[in-house]
Amino acid sequence: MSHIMKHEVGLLRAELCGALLPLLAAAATIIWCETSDAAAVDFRRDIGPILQQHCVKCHGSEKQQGGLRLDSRELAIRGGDSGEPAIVKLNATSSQLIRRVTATDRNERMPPEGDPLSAVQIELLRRWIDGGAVWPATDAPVAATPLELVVTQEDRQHWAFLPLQKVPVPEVQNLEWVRNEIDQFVLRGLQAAGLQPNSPADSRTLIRRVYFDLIGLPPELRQDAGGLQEVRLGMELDSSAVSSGLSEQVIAQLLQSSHYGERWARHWLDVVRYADSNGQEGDADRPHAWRYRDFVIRAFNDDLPFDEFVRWQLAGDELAPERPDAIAATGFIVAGNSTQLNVPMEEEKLRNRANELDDMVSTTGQAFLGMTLGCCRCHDHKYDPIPSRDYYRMMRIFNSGDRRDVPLAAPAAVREHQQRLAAWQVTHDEVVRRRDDWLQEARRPVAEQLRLAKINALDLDDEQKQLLISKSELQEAKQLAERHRRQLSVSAAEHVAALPEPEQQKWRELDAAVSVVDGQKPAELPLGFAFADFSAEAPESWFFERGDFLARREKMSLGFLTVLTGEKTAADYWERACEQRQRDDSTQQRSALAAWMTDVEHGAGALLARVLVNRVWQQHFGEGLVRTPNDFGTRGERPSHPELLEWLAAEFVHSGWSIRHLQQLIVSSGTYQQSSVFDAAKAMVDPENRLLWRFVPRRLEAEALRDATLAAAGTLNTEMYGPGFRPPIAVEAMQARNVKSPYPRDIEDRPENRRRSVYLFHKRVVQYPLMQAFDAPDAQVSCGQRTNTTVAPQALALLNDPFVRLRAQEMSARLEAECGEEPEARVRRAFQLTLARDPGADELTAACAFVAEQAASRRQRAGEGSAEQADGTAWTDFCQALFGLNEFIYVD
Amino acid sequence: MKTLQQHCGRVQEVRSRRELLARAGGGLGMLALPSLLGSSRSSGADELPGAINPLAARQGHFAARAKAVIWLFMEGAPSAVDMFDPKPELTRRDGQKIDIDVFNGNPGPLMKSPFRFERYGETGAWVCEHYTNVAKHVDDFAFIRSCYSESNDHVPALYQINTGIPRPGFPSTGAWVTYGLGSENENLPGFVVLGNNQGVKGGNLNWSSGFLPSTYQGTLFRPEGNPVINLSRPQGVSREDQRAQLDLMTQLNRRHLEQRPGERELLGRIQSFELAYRMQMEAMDLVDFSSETAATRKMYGVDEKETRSFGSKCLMARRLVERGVRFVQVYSDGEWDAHSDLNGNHRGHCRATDRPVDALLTDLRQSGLINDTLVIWGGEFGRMPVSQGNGGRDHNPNGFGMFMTGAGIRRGVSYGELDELGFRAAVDRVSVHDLHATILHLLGIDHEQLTYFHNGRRFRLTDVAGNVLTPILA
Repeated sequence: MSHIMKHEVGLLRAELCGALLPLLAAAATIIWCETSDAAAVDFRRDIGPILQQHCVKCHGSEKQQGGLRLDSRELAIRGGDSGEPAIVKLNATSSQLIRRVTATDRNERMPPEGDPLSAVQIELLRRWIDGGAVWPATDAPVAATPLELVVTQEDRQHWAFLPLQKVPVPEVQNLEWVRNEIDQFVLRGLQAAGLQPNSPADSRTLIRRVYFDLIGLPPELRQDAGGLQEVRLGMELDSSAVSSGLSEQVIAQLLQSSHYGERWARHWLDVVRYADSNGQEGDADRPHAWRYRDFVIRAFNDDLPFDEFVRWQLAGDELAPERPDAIAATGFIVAGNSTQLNVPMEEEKLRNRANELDDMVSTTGQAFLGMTLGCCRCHDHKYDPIPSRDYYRMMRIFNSGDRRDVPLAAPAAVREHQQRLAAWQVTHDEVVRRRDDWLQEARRPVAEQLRLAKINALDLDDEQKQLLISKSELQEAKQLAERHRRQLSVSAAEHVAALPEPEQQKWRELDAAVSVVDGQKPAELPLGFAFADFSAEAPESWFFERGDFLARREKMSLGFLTVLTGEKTAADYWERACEQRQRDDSTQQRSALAAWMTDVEHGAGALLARVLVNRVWQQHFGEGLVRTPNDFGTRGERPSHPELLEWLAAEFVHSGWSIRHLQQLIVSSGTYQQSSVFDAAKAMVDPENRLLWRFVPRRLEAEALRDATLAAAGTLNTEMYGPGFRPPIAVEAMQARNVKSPYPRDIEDRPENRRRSVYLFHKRVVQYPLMQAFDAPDAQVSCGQRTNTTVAPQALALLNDPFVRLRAQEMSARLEAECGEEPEARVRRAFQLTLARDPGADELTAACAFVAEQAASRRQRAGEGSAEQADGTAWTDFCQALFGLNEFIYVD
Repeated sequence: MKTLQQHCGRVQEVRSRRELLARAGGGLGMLALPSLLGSSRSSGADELPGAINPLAARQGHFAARAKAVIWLFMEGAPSAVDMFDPKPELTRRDGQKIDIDVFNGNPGPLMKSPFRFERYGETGAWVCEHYTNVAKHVDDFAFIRSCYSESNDHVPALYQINTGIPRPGFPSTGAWVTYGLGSENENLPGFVVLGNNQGVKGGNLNWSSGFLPSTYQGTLFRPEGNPVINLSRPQGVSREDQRAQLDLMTQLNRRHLEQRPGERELLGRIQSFELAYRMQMEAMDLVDFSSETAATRKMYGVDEKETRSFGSKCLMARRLVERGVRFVQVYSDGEWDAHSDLNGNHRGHCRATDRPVDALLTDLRQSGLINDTLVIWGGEFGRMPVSQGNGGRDHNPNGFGMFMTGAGIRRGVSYGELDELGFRAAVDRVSVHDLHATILHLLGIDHEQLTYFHNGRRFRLTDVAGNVLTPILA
């Protein structure tokens, strides 16, 4: 029995709704409860079973006697052929349902066969109807057996499932603060609460903020005769660039920087649980996984339309088989945990496969749609209108293929490569055969002599040797020879060495011919770790009863989320996908899924756009407009600014799904550019800043923190793309046995592992402690938002981690090289490199005093080398202290 | 009702003080002074009005029988029929073929235990000939003979026995316990793992905090040298050097903070540096065994080759619970994973653990710590009654045994039974959820009430199952 994510939350229900309803009310009731009098009757507990047992067999999805259905509230209210509603809300006496179950006339009474309903049952029905006939949306409808969720029109009305709405931009006052439409929405919300936004942040704060947000690196500012310059991107920051907020040009230049993709790819990699190894016991490395990571970086840097970005991740191999990056994009599907189970036990293999498919379905739901599909593995979703059936119809899509190292080349190129390889193999085999056949003949005169020498060299007694020499055909001799097979074998080289020189010359010629052919071997095609269907034929796929992979209930046809599927059915999408087929070894089901996913009119496109807009917003503001980025369902939080989200989503789609356009809008807004100043009075009104009266300071994420220390040290290696680098990891942190590709223990700090953190090789079972300490996700499941902790291990890392100390040393050397001996100049430069500002007078004094005292104390201590060395180390101590400053770690 | 942010972005109503404390670990809204070290009653958090420490010690749902847990984890899975549960029927049918499906295929015939057994104590419990020191304590044990789990593979099985779910990514029992109860010590983590010399299969996901705040994850301690990563200062940096660095940082940080009133997380971070600084000393003191008497060292076998590793860890476990650490897991070295030569494999593991376990139990009893400490012995599953290869046994999740002893445990009882061959839990079957429910119960926690909201629902250690094994409670 699988028991993952079972939601039999009976015992938890009371907790969930204790404040609203007495004990035992179904959790979902909260959402649909119309009157509190209904509390005593619970649909799921009291009413559903009555309908299920006595009514829906004849008035349900299979049969509709008298045109009546009692398997959903809507249909029951509509009534049957008589035109009278079976249920009249709040009025049991007028309800046909009650009349018929209480009828004394046997021809009138329902149910027609068997005993009438009991008085208790009838009373429950009465009270239920009088209480408003509360019928939780997610419980509807009632099927004869088993009870299966059917998605209703009502379900489709949940805000996140609606088509994109056209929202007018509100008119507001305070036009000075307003920089674009975003601000009009935000300002209206603030003003309604009697609040005003903060004034714009100062230019230095803005520059630092927008650098970290868009490229994940600090600005490197230099004031010279020509004015203020930003060195990293080579930008002139004349007064107009920042004096009245960030100029278009600064924003554009950041968005054009190749560092932008490196920064934003990392956010997406969280969502798709990307890592470079399998995880679980073997944790084998995935040497080709990085192709997917590079695809993501390039997609951001090229502003690949997001709908295309999504389609490729689901079906790039089918949709654009000529494009290597599109093929690599399906690395999304396979990025989760997996294990290579090479055991004969069938049950264990099925369990493993079911888990892997679950990861694919669940992550697809979370990453793109913000829906928690994993629940539906065992039962219909408890809160959202997603029947378990939807889950298994989607699982079918991934059940048609598996993870594989695939050549990143067009099918024709792959075929051509295979042909060339086959042709080469023929040639190769031929020259090898020619050489070996020759030797087979040539060695005859020397073979026996070599054999005898080998036998004599064995550590055996004479009798046994004699056995081998002269009675080799005997069983006993054969066994003996087998035991010493390695010592007795005579290599080609040994044979050749025993030949006379002219023969040897001949050998060398033949061998050289082999080498020539070896050198002609066609180069391997680059590989990607990706998803591929088994064939054009979709294999059978099943509905597992309560998630039990051994209990196959029924075969599944292709389908998506019903609540997001309109007139255009999955079959329609699939048919179209097959018409556009570009390869003959794939089912095109994923193309159908991709088309539905990005279809704004008939499919999931509107939700897809909302979820993405919210993710981007969250990265800029710390929290999304919807604070549950991976749950847009009925239990997720509603947006703080529903109209703004809607307007942005529509704008995003109309811009051609351009993330860059979206970010340009956000970063240009007054909302984004306001100061982070805390205001106790405003906080009284809106303590959580949901109305956005200020910009909330944020701690740098693990990657940005690491990259910022390298940037300050001046040793950041900006090489882009390619296989990930492995940082040195303390052996203490490698506590895992039986890992197939163990993490190397002898890695040194080298330029190649001073690259940006997005290129860090993420080994699932051996996480890099520095990243882990600062809340980088473990890549087990999709992470829509990282935790933000303030814990002592972070402080220990900044104080003691060799990585941090080494960067401090490098920065100290940099100060010496760039600023000479003058302490004040060094301190100024150090502040610029870490905090992007000059020190205040008191800070300058404190810093210089620190260095002087530290050097003096180090000089005094026995064992310290020269005075020069003590000075250098004191500066290292100083630089390291800067890395621990709140001002360095946080962005205002 | 307050809404707070939680791991991976869920917002929900927060009711219990426990959840509030937990969630305080994240987000700028609430200040947390979570730390590896707990906060301190004496300093730190208390300086800060309204500061909340997610590791502060707190009460469970009802009176606790145990304050701490030491889980002696026999990694690789010891065989029940070869340790504490001899089966005469297995001996009788030795060599017979039976129809059975096993993990690695090719099952051999039934194989009797290579060990002799004797009865010990007043209860007359059977113990194999290589565990004679542990055998001295059997009258204090509650044997649980009828455990079962799901996966036939080590890593899912390890994840299940640790987290309840045979997949990676869920919070470990120790994480749930520290989430529920906090820690009694301000300068040490609440959940400590003493790993083994080659690392545990499945790695740190065995002691992960899963979706709980990372504050509650198990901290891996090495018994010697630096117990925790980043605990020793960089080369050439003395304690005074680091103190001076901290003083400079504090000075500059204070100035920064003054310009940002209301940003409480900034103060929390300043304090986290002080805690880290203090912890370096405290933790180094912890691993310094020189304060232990020669007799103690001898008893644990700290200076002998065969018992050195496990003995040191058992001694460390005692030092940890003595200092108020809530949950300690001690992994055995190597693996009890006897796919061949069970005789040699189990004999070796018995040699490595028999005296240290005896020493730990004796020591806990002598010091009285046993009254507050629950001790658990067991692996991630059991082994087959049939042979594999040359005298080995394959994996078996269908039936296996454990024992518990110490605080709150009824002495000298046996619960449940395997079938007559030792293949499957037959009587009073005990699921992993039942084990977890029982552990939580002993710590004063109702396993149905200890919940955490994540991905649209409240999660529990025991998922939607679990029964407290009341017959083994004192």
